[in-house]
Amino acid sequence: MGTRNREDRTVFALTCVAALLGIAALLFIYRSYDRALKEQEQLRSWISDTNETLSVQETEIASLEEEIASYSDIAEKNRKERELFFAKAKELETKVMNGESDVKICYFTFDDGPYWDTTHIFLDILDEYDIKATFFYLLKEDHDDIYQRVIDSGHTLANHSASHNLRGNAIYASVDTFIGEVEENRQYIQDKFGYTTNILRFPGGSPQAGSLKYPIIDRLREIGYGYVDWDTTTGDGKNSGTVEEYIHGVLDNSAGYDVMVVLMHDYSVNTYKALPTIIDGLKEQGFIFLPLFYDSAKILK
Amino acid sequence: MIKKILLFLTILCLGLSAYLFTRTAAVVKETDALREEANALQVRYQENGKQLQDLQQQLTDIETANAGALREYRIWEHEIEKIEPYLR
Ligand SMILES: [Zn+2]
Repeated sequence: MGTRNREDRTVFALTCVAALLGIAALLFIYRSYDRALKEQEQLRSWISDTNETLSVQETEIASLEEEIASYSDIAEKNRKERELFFAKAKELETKVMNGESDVKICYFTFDDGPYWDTTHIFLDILDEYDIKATFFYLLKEDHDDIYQRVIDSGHTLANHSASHNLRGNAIYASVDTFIGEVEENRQYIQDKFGYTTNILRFPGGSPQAGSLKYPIIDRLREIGYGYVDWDTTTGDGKNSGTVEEYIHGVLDNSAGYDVMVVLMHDYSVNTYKALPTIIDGLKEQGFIFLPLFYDSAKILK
Repeated sequence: MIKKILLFLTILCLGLSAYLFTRTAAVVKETDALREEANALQVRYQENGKQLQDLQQQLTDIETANAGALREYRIWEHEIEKIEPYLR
């Protein structure tokens, strides 16, 4: 009886130990399993996050590549965009002239420059008002920065002869003399700035050419040029008027025009003082401001 | 009676342990495959990062080189925007 009892107890004890070991093994393996699952879950969420990041990255790469590629033909794109703008300007001008629009068009023109001391002030004012205008320039060496700023700002650069020599009406001595000056200035601007001019204003206005006016116009047409006089002016040609006179010169004479060319000179201090008031006044009268272009109805050929 | 329960418990534990062991092995195997995928993604991420940096630099260079042209383009774009409302 005693031996059996001891054996029984030993077996019981062994069974207990086996059960405990079993439980311990289960716990241990469960912990490993749990850890493996968690690790996998972490990895899966990392992969899904990374996939998202990758797709963002790859969209960004594609758009950068596209942007870089867009530069390959930027010069051509610029030319087209410029052409498109002037085509739209032409469309608007036609609408305005046919009375199909509520707005009126004003072409500001500035003659005789460039001028070191004053032109920049005009350009600053035009920038401030976000207005493009037209500059009829002579051939003046050592004024590169001003020509360049006019061109870079999107204003129209146009031809006003090389010398503007009206003493004894010398510039109108002959058709060849005059066309020679136009060609000289055109070539200068073309060679130096790569800018092609095709609009002329006669020094003193087209009547100043007298009997040569129409022969000159014929020659201008042959070389791809048109010309323009003006409708209203500040009257700053002699540079002797007051700011008030210049303001009235434009604002009091603009009523009859749907499309109007305004003559000013970018050497005149009183003109740049008058300019903001002139702009505000014309805006109130319903004008918007455009740079001149060859196809404009205002450019005579 | 208790002995029988204990024995049953032991067998149950061992059985479950064996089952969990095979599950764990399977999970670990899956995780290994995922880790490989993750490594590939990591490589792609780094390559993309480098490519992005290169492209950024390229764009900056090209923008600098074409700053004038770009400004000109913006001017015409802006002028078109200004004129368009009057054409409608
Ligand atoms: Zn003049």
